[in-house]
Amino acid sequence: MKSKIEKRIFQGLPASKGIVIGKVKKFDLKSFKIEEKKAKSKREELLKFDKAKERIIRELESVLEHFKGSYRRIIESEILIINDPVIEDEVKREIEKGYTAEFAFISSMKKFLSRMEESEDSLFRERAREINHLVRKVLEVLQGKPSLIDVEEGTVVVSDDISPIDVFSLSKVKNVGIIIEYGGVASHSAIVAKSLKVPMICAVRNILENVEDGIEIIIDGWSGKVIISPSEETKKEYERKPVLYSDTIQRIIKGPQKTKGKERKRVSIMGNAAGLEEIEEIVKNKGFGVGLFRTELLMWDPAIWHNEDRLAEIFEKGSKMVFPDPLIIRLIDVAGEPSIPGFEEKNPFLGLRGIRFLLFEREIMKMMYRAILKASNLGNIRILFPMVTTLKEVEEAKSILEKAKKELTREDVPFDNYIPVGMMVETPASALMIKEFTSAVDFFSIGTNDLTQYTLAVDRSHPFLAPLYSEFHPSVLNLIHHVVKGAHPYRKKVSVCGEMASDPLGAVILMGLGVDELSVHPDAIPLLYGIFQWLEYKKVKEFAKNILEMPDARTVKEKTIEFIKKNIPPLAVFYE
Amino acid sequence: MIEKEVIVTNTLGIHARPATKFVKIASRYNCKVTVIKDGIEADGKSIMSLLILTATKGSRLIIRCEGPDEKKAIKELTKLVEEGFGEE
Repeated sequence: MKSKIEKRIFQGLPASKGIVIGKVKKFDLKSFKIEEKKAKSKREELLKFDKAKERIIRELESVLEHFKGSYRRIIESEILIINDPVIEDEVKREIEKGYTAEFAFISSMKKFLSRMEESEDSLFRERAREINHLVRKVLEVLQGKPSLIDVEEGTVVVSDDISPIDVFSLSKVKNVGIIIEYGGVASHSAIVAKSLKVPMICAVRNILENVEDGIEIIIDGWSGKVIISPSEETKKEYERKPVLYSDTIQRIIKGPQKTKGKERKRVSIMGNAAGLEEIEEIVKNKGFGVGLFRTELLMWDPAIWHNEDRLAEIFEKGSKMVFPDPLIIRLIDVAGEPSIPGFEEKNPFLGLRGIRFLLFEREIMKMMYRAILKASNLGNIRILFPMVTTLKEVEEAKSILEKAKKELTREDVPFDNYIPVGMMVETPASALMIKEFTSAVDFFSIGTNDLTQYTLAVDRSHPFLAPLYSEFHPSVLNLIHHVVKGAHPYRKKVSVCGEMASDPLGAVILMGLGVDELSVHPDAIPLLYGIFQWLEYKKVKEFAKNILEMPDARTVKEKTIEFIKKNIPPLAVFYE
Repeated sequence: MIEKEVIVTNTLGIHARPATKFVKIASRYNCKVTVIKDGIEADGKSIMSLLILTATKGSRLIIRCEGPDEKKAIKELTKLVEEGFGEE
């Protein structure tokens, strides 16, 4: 059965952009077992340990100069750990008992690490995880095993986890990508990967058991998609993708020569962001503000970690950066985040996520409100509720907002009393009942990724069913159309912030369906501006109307490609 | 030998970065440095020992210095903790 599946798609969290088409190399930390073994010679083991220590310190010191700020301090602390006198005494004592250097080291470290892993403070637990990277590195050197430094060009490293230093070593090799099973996009490793432009995807569950060394794999650090054993067609598609952002894009951005007399709809192009760096890119690309500010990264960042004032500071900076354009902040949506202690659900996507989580953890919700309100004085911030299914949820969420406002009034803290609130439309339930929500919120934002998964009942990372997953399925498009139709009479704007909006095909359809705003990857902004210059609204609208009647996703995609080829000729090369 | 009691003031407690600062300063002195929390003693020159104290904000610590330069050492180390390791 397995060999018959031509390609399999996994979905993770995109941590660092870029595409790599390469071969898998697995590094499995879990499989690292050290046996309790007696050594032949104590002297040799002591020497081996000293040498390994020296080599790693040398390596860390050589890396040190390339890092600034917090990464630099991480490396400094790693050097101190390697040099730790207490650990050294412990290791020497174990070696004196007759154990190998590997065993002596791991058992000494474990004594310390288990204490940290038991800590109630998540920061210490997280730190223990990072120190484990270092332990692995020492063991690799002690055992003379090949290390990550030895990978070849065109390798995609698949591991359960990776250290910032390893990411740095990998960045020296050309055309390398990283996939890890655990870890969040806010981990130090992810941040380093981003700054060194190494494509990386986090939280790809069970990927290790589904790949073998040497098989072909594509990683798309833009969308978080991992494609195992891709077809030739898929490979070509991905080879073209980087080009999409260089040559042809310029022609499209320039626009057609004759544009006179064409009626155009103003679709605002906004950007998706998860941090201030991305907001900077949005501003650079002249996006109309931030259509979706994801707060998951911020909330789980140990340096911010539920720190209301730090959070407010970041929101305020973001608000200033895009002013007078809007900054739409989505409250934390915990779906698919593997690192939340105490939340083991059988089916997290049908569980305590989005607004449900926030209404369950009201203190977190209120803290976020307070941070957002404190930052809201320029008047361009809006609040967005994630994953809503019933009106009651919105009402409760708003009553907590009122509580936060009252608190701040009492504390004499100024804020925007008329801060607009909107909701994500990500479920068929909220899409179909859109009219009911129009009295409760100021705007709607459609998350096409989740709307597609919930409408089609397909997990897009499913090994056999992934082809069934398509935003172009007419059922999804009809739901989007229904939302626009329901919201516009009440003068409520509709935006789309899923991946569909960043895809030229999707963007054209959404424009035709009457969507007011698209929120996309910051880098896709210029391209979409360009695309819309080529299109006459009347034609697109007519085309979209036909689409709603089409029988399946395949037909929709084909017809849209045809439409694009005809109306935006330079874009045609990507669909041949 | 001198001892001094301090309270951890920075939000995140003695995690890796503060511990790194502490060890770096402690290692500059010849005296023996011990940090005690709830009766558990940690070597002030060992980052792992400090980390496993898991000293969070508000923790009460005793810093003990023994040796020729103990006065200077304890002054600098208590100041570091009291000022929150330069963090918030």
